[in-house]
Amino acid sequence: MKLQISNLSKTFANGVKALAGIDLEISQGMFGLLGPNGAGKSTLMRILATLQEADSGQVMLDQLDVLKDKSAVRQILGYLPQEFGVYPRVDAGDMLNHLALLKGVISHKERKELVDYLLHQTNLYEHRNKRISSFSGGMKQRFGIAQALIGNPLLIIVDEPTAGLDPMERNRFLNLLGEVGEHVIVILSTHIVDDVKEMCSDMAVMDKGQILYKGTTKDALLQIKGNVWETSIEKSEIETFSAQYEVLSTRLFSGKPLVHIYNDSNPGEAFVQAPENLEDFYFKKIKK
Amino acid sequence: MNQFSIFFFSEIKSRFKQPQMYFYMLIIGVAAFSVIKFAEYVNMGVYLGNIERTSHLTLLLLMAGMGGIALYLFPVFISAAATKDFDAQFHEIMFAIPIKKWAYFWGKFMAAWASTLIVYLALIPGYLIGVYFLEPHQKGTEIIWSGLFDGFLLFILPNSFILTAMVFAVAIYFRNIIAAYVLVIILATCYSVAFAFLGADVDSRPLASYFNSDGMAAFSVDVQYWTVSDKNTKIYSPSLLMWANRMVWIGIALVVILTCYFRFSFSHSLQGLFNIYRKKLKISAQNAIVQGKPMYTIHNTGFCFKALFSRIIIEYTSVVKHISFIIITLMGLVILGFNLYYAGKKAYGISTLPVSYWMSEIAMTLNILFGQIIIIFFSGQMMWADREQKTEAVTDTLPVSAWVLALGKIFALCFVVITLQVFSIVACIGYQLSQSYFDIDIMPYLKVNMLLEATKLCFWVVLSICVQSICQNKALGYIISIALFISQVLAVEVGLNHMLWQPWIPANVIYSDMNSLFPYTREIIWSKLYSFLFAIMLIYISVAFWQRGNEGSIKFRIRQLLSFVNNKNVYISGMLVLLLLGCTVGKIYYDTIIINHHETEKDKWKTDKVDFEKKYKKYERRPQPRITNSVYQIELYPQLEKIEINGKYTLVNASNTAIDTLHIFYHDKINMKIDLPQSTVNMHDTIRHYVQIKLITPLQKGDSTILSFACNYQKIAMENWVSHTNLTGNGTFINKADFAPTIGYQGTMELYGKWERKKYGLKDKDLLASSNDTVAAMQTYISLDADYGHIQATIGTDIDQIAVAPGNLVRKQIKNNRAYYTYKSTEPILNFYSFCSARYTITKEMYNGISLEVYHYPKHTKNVNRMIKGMKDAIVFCERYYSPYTYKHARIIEYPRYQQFAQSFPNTIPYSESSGFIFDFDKEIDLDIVYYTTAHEIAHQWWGHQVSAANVEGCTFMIETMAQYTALQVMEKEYGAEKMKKFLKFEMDTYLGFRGREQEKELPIIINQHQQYIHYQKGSVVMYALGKYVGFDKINTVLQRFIKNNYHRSAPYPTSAELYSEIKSIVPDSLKYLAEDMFEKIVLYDNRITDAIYEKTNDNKYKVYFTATCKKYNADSVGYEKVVPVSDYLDLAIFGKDDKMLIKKRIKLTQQSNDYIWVTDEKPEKAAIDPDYLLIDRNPSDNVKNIKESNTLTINL
Repeated sequence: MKLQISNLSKTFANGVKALAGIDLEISQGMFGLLGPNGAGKSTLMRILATLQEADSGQVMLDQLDVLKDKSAVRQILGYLPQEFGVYPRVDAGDMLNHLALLKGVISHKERKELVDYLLHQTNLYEHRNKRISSFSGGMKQRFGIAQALIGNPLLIIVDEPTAGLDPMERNRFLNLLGEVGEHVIVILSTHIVDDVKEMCSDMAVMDKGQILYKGTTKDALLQIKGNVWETSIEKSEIETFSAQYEVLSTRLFSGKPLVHIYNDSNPGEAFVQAPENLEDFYFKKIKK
Repeated sequence: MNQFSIFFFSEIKSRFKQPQMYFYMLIIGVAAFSVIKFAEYVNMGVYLGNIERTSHLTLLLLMAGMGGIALYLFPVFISAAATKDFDAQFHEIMFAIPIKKWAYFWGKFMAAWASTLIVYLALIPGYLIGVYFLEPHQKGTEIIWSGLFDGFLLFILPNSFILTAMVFAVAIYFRNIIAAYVLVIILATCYSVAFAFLGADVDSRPLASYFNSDGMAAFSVDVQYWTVSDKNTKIYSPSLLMWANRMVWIGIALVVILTCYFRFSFSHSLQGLFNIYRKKLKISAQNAIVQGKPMYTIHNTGFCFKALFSRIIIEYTSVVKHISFIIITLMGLVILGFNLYYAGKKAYGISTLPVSYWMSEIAMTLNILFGQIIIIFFSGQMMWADREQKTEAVTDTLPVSAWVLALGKIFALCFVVITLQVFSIVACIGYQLSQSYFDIDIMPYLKVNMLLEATKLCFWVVLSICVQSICQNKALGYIISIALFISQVLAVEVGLNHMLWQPWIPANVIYSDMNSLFPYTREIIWSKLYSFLFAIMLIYISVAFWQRGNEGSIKFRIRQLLSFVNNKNVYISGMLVLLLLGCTVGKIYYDTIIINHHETEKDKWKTDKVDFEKKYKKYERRPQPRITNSVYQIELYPQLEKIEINGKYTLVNASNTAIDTLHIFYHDKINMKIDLPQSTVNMHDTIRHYVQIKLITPLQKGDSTILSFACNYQKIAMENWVSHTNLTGNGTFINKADFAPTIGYQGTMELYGKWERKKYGLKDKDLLASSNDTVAAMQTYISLDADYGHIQATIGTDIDQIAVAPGNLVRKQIKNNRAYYTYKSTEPILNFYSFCSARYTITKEMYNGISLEVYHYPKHTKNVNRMIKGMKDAIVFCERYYSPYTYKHARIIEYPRYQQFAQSFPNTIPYSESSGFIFDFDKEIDLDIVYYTTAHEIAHQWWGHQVSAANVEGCTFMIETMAQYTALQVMEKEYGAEKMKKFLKFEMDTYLGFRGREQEKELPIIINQHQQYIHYQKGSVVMYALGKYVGFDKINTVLQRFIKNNYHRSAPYPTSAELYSEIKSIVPDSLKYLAEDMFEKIVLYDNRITDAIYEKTNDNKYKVYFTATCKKYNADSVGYEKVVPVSDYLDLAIFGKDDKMLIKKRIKLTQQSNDYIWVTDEKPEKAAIDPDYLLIDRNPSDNVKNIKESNTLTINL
């Protein structure tokens, strides 16, 4: 099973070019889509999830034309949107049950089993009679994944799922996602590099509507292997430093800026070589 | 710029950029235009139809009347200013900036207020355009511009402040638009309370003022008795009541907004308010017990009933659990309770039994709230809920078709509406039980509230959802839905009421206990089928435009539409629905327009009348033979709405010349065949239903001939506005004139109304000829083509029905499984009678050889005994004071409530189901109006049937006023003088109110032209007063003589002028002025006690000093009043404790202000002028004044 995106473009009415001719090939397993806010990730996800129209291009899931045959896509889709609202005044269990029915689990008995299974899986079983609106962020997100998993989806799209989760919640969520992601296509769109690092073997980096990198996570790391250097400098030096080197990132360490730069060779003795890091790769790509 | 100006101007600026503002202006402008242009049809509390619409009053009323619209229109608009920052979740940023609270709050408030005022400006062009399009006589000479200014100050400015302040305050405080809606509902509740008070008796009207926030109620109380002239020319100045209303509501608004201002803070959190809803959650760290993954089958849910059902439940619960739904429902039920309680108490202090059909109609008054408002509000809410809650990404990617999503919402909202109908029905039944009324009939609720109303509302659900689906913008959807709602109200007002435009018509459906919905069966089936198919089309459209995801470009939507239509199943089924819809439209069009001539041309019925008059007026007053004997063979098929009549008229030439041509007219839609020996048909105008017959040998003076006719009628097609309710399943009540032909040109068929006639180029004409017109006096207005004669009628009807006609029942037989009743008159009667048939129960009582009978619906027994008592008492009275009763029977015959009157035919009195059979009666507080009406109708057996009035002006004085006068005396004998006071107060109120609605001219009673408020209401008042001044017995003696001298007198018929001159002859010379004032003129008084004090004298008596003022006015025909000198006898009285009369004297007053010092033995409490309210006085309450003890200090000095 393969998802083939070719030359996909989308320009909004206000002139913003969200997608500028994207080509991507995504096969089974977890696929990470990295990019800063506003890169066009969500637009791409929404187009794949039948919620938005593309201006041009084609998306094929094997023989299925994703852009044309929306109702067929909806049959095999599991979607956890970036912003996930809840129905007020509805209990979690009831809502899952409702969504399961709408996704085609007609048999009452089967549906109950499925819902209970998902509630257990997402550790929400004991909250099933509570209103979703009273859930914490993590619980809500887990509910979101529960609903996305109903109906054996072949294509699962999760858009910025871990933003706002505490570390424990995040771990639980990613584990859950990992379990289901083995046999189907899971597209994990995120700006959090660690998510991709931990979960995905294939990935793409995207910015300003364009794909800056596509390939495996390993290759990505190989690309910068040995070329990232780290040093600690004074705050006042930042400006001159940026002019001098290709700075990937600056963060504070013990109150002093710790800078990663990209350089083919050792830039000097003040620098030490940093271990290859997906984050640096990401910064390298989007800073181009 | 200071902060205030920044907030103010930025808010105003953003208003001008939004389309809403211009939509609202459009609505206000169109409303103003419609009020002015279509005043005849618009009910705003004060009738404008007959006055010049450039007057001060019109402008004020227009501006006051906007309050009602504003209440529904503005809250969304106003609260937008208040909640914008919160909705956009911008407030946390906004309030982090160091802004001043006062600048933020008042800047926004002033901007909201100012923009409402700007919207109101649209009223001016609307008004001016309306005036421009008026007929000249509706305009007056020039616009009283000061009205615009006064109206602005008195209504627009304060009303917009009141509404803006309250809505803004609650919206900004609760940070939620729903709070504003709740406020609107509270205000609307007050509004309906106010108008319930206005409709109640005269004393509770001022109370209405306080409940009504826009001053409309106070205004209509202030001008309730304004005459036509007053309305045209008087400049309104606010009364104390009006000022009080303005002050009270401005005060309330100030309190509300100031409270909110001081309690409002940028940081306040509303969490605390809703604490009760928050349950603390314990997050469990317990590990998941992961079971094996279950096996399940996935079905294709593209369209699946289970899925649909689940959607419906989710959507339905989301509405009924919504806090605003719960509030609206509770409010609605409170209003309903109030309406139920007050609806039973109407004028005359009559209470109505809580019968089911009546309750069901009251429940429907709630349907603006329980229908339109709920539908408009929740259709938007529902359509946008997914997007607002951000759940659309989940629901829109579900593998179900748009049909499931759309139908889920539509059905859910339909069930919401049905739920509310069920609630209101349960409330009604609860009310019935609480009134210990156990005879609950469930059918009206099922048939009217569920079958008719709920389905109509479901149509609106579909329409509103469709609008929202097409618009794809919540605000725009709301505005269009509201505009559609307002336009359908306006459309009905201006006569655009064809059921093809408005599928919920027939709107005039009336449920009857006797007859259920029988006359409307056909119309209901077809209009419901039409609206059902229409709704299906709308559902197709909704689905075609259904938005999934957030792609909203036109290009995409067109593509979506095309792909929707390209679906073969959709295409074929859609075409099928269209085809069926087309057939239904065709059928309705054919029936209502081609067969039943529903007037597509607005004034066609008028041009028809004009044609009729122009063509045939020349035959008026041509001598025609008179009908002396009529024989009918009638076949009635009530279930088929079919009648066949074979009749024979014996015609006698009673004129002095030979007659060679007969002019025969008959009713619309009847097949008529006329047969006259030795004659030829000259002309048969089938459009205007006129046959001209030439006699080969002219009918000589005194000769007679026999005219035979055969006519039949059957209702075969539906009508747009069901008019044929008289020939019906159970409760047929047909007037002979509805089917049988009449001889000679009928002036009553002509177009009436001064301006109407002028518009169509017809000569001005009075309804009635002058009392000196000797030709007109040869006819009685009661039957124009015959004098006293005989009839015999055989009526065949369904075997289970009883047919009734005038005369004695001479034969009853069963033939061919049908029942045949033959009635024959024993004494000569006027050619004025009716035929009834229904499944009756007969209740009988014999009195003095007269059989008193009530034919009624078996369950309507409550008032039958009082009817019989009324008949008996009236007969006893009339036989004693006037003359013996003519017939052997007196029959009251119940008929369904399509009309609401009782009418007295010779010995038969058809009596409407709703005007006598459902009244409740509490002897302590209520007037026995059933008894009174019965006495009135029985009195007509003398006044109307023993003597009949010539067809000239004032004719109804002899008939209607005398029947009122007789019934008054019968009632006073039974119930006493106190009840009379109450009755006359209502009569006075009705008379004074209706003068101001006069379309033509108010005339003195003795020359009135069929003006009901004069011959009934003024008639009661002045005849009772005359009785009190002159003596009832003296008048009764005159009446006895008059009846004796004129018994069954035909051409020339007696005139009211003759009767009046006989009455006047017994009035003493000193009171002749009184008779002239009351009968020959229009005179009004303003009587009042201005000062009243007493002091205790040394011999333990009381000295009362009081001033009685009497102003007397002489009014002309449009109500222009002139003060005339007083030289009148009036009663003055002093009352003690418990209204015990201490002194009463009749004194001749010769000046306006009169001081008196009277001495009483007991402690005086009240002084009164005209204490029995005998004279016509617009403000009777100031006739009585409490007497205060004088300041003892001054007396000692």
